[in-house]
Amino acid sequence: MSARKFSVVLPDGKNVNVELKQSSKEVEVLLEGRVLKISKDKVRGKVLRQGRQIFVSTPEMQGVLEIVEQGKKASVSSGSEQAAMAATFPGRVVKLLVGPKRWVEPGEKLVVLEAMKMEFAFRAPEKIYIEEVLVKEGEVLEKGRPFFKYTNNHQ
Amino acid sequence: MWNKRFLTLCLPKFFATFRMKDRRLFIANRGEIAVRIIQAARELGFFTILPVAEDDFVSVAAQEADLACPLEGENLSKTYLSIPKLVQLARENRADLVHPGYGFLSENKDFAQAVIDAGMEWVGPPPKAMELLSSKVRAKELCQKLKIPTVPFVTFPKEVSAKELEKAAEEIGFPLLVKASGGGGGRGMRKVFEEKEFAEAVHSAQREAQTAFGDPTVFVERLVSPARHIEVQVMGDKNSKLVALGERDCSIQRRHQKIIEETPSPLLSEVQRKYLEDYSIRLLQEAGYISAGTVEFIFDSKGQPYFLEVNTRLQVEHPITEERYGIDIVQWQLRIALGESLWLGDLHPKGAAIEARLYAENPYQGFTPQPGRIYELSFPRIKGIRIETGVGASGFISPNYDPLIAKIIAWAPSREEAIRKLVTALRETVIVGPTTNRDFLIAVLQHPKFAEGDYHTHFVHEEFDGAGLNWPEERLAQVLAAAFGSSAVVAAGNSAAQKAGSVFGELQLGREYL
Repeated sequence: MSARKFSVVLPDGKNVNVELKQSSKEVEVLLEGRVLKISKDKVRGKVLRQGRQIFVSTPEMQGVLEIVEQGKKASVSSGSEQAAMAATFPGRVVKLLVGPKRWVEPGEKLVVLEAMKMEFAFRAPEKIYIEEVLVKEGEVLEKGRPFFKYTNNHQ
Repeated sequence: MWNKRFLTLCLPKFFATFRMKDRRLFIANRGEIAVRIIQAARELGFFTILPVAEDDFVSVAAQEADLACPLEGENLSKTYLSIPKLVQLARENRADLVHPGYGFLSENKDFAQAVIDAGMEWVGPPPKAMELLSSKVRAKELCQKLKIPTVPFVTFPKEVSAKELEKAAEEIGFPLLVKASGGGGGRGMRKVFEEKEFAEAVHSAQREAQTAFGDPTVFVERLVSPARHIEVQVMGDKNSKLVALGERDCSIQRRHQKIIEETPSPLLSEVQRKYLEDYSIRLLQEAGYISAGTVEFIFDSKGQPYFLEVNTRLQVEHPITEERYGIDIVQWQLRIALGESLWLGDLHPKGAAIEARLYAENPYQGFTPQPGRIYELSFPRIKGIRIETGVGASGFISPNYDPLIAKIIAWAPSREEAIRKLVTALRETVIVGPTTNRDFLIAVLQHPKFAEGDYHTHFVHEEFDGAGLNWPEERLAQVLAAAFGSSAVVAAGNSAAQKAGSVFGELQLGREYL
């Protein structure tokens, strides 16, 4: 019997703790500690796992699940704005609204990224001290690229 | 008798075919619309030429075109938005006609003029009509003259001073809308509720307008909200004959971009429809319009229509009109450009047609774009379902362009059946790749208010804000088991996935699995 513990981040940003117990004969899946029986019905659909991502496409669900360590949280976002300190999607920096060596308040607009001809604003998720700016206006960022070197300890 | 019939009926058609065959068509676009135009042109016997940016060489359009020529440049303004480059490529390849598709330079009169000056036919309205109507300000003035109702507005052609902003704010009042004058499809558009957001909204809309359309002009108008967005399709030929082809209801929007469109509108009465068609024809007649065009109206909550703007090009959602009227709008655009007169016979619009736009975007997190690799894409074959896509069985959604994966169009004798068909088609669409709005589109189509036809431009915002996923837990458990359980994995023979060295499984959690 082998067991695996991890969390998955669903496309809506929710975290689900998962435990997979697998033996040669059967599989048990625990979601948030609750045991879920695996239905014996044949299910139509496709699943592809690649690194930390699981691509799912069945008649009732389509999207990407992100595998993370248990206890870690996904970034929060809403509308054309996100509270994040790194590019959550690839895009071009159209506006850099803060400079280095300063405090920013939670919710302050930091960076505007453009992707697919639309603009998205990134706001500070908490009170943060910006030490260094790591991106330039006009620069094209890959997904996951941090905007700043920063600390959040209030000293 | 027979001879006379032969001469009057067959000969003009024979010569028309003669004129069409081997004409060289240059398509200044990409993605699904390039594919659509290539297919329409191919039926007429045209030779198709497609300029292709570096990141588009693997696209379906590039494969489908008879000739794909490299369009070099590192960003949009040097590729699909570069008039000199496109015109030069078209000339070098001896094009007879240029079709601009939608978006990009489709509503740019300078491009149209450059094409005409280079001795080619422009598949679209004359630059003069484009100039008049694409200036939304002048279009509105024309409406006032023709007694067509319109909404109050102010324009900012270039850099705006604080004073000008203040004056506009006073004149229009909040809430208001900032829009790209050269735009459409909601890009470069901002909703402003307070004065302090106003300046930043105008500047950012100008930047977006510059990148997306190559023109920074924006204008401000009173926000009619919630509203119903209904547009009329018009076709016109070079003999000033104009025909209205009914309406499309495009009120289901997110970020001011349409995601579901239908015809006929469940809201309009026969009398209202006639009014809108009459407004549209009169406006385009006055503007000297030729080819396909769309006149957009908004209806306020009291059911009063206002002229919004004219889209002087083919629309994304043109297929629903084609399905209902049984005509090919793109082919007619090409035929009209070659001087053929528009003859659609007796128009008998039938049934109901609905289109859903499948986007690579996350509907649960503010519709953020989700560019990336698509490992597998397949659509069901259902009678009455039409698929328009520019993404192949495996492809890439580039962050540089619109995140549209496909348009799925359903036609059926009744609206209920069309909705049902579309839901089925969406559910059966397989996308192994980025998160898309597929399940969200299904949720909208299944919403009781949508079923009743009771919706407006705020529908998505009001009914779905903060709505999360509704994935059945058991199914999620099965998916996770399939993703990790090696015994569940069946080699699916997907080369893209295999190359990536990943686990690929048909999700068959039956006996094989346990």
